[in-house]
Amino acid sequence: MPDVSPGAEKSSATTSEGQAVSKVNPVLAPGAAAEKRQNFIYNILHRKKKTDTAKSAVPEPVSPPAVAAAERVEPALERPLTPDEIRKAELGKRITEAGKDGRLGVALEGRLEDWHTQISDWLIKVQGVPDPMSMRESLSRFGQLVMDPDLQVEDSKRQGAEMARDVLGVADKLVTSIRLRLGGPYSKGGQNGSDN
Amino acid sequence: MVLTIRDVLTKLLVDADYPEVKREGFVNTFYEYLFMKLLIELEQTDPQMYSRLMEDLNGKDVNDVQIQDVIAEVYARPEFKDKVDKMVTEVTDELAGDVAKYATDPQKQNILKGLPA
Repeated sequence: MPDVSPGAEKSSATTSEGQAVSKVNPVLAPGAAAEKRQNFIYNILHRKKKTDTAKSAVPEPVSPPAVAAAERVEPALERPLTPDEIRKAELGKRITEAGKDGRLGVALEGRLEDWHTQISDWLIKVQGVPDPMSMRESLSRFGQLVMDPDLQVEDSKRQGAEMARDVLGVADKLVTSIRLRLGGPYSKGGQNGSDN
Repeated sequence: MVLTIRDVLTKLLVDADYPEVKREGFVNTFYEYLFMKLLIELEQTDPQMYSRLMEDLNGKDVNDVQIQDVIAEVYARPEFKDKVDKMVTEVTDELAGDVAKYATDPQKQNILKGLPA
C-alpha cells in the first residue's frame, strides 16, 4: 500500500518486474526514527520560510497614488534656489574663503556685506519708502536709541529713554553668545581651546 | 562691568584688526540690521503698529520718545518678545560663530578678556 502520509516525498520507480511502485523517502518511511523524521520535516518547513522571505524582498508594484505623490514631491527637490538661498550660500562660501587662516577681520567684512545686502533688499521690498538713505539713517539712529540708549546723551535725558534702556538686551545676548562659543578653557586662564 | 553693544563690537573689531576707519560703519550697520529685523518681526506680529512705526521713521519730525515707547510697548507682549529674543539670538550667534571659527587663539583670548564675566 502506497504511503500517503503528509510530507512524504515520492518519486516514480519501477521494480525488476516492470511494476510501478511508489518510492518513499526512507526518513519518512514507517519505522524510521521519529527524531530524524521531525528534523526532516523541520528542514522542509524552514526552507519554505526562507523562500517566502526572499519573495517578500521583491519590490511590490507601486500604486498609482504613490507614483503621483512622488511626482508631486520631485519638482520641489529640484526647484531653483531662491535669491535669499543663493545669497546665503554665496555669503557662506565667501566668509569661509575669507576666513581661512584665522582672518577674522576679513570674515567680519563678509558679514557686514551680507547685512548691507539684506538691508538694501528690504528697502527695495518695503513699499512707500520715499528716501531710502534717510530711512537707513533712521534705522541706524533708532537702532542705537533702542539698543544702546546710553550713547545718546541728549536722548537719554528725555522722558522715556530709561523705559527703553537696554530693552532688547542685545549687548547681554551678544556677550553670552561669544562666551558660549569661546568658553571653556579661555574663561579659565586663557589656555588654548578648540574653535567651537 | 556693563558694556554697550558699541563697546562689545568695537572690542571685537579691534581684536580682529579691523580697519579703524570702518569700525564706526560696522557698528552702525549692526544697529540698522537689527532694527530692520525688529521691524520685520513687528510687521508679522502687529501690521498696524508696524505701519505706524514706518510712517514715523519716514517722517521728518521723528519723535524719539514715541519710537522708544512703541518698541517698549510691543516688546512687553510675550508673543513678540519671544520672536524678537529668538531673532536677536540668531544674529548674535552668527557673529559669535564667525569669531569662534575664524579668530586665532590669541585673538580669542583677548576678546574673552575684554568681556564681562
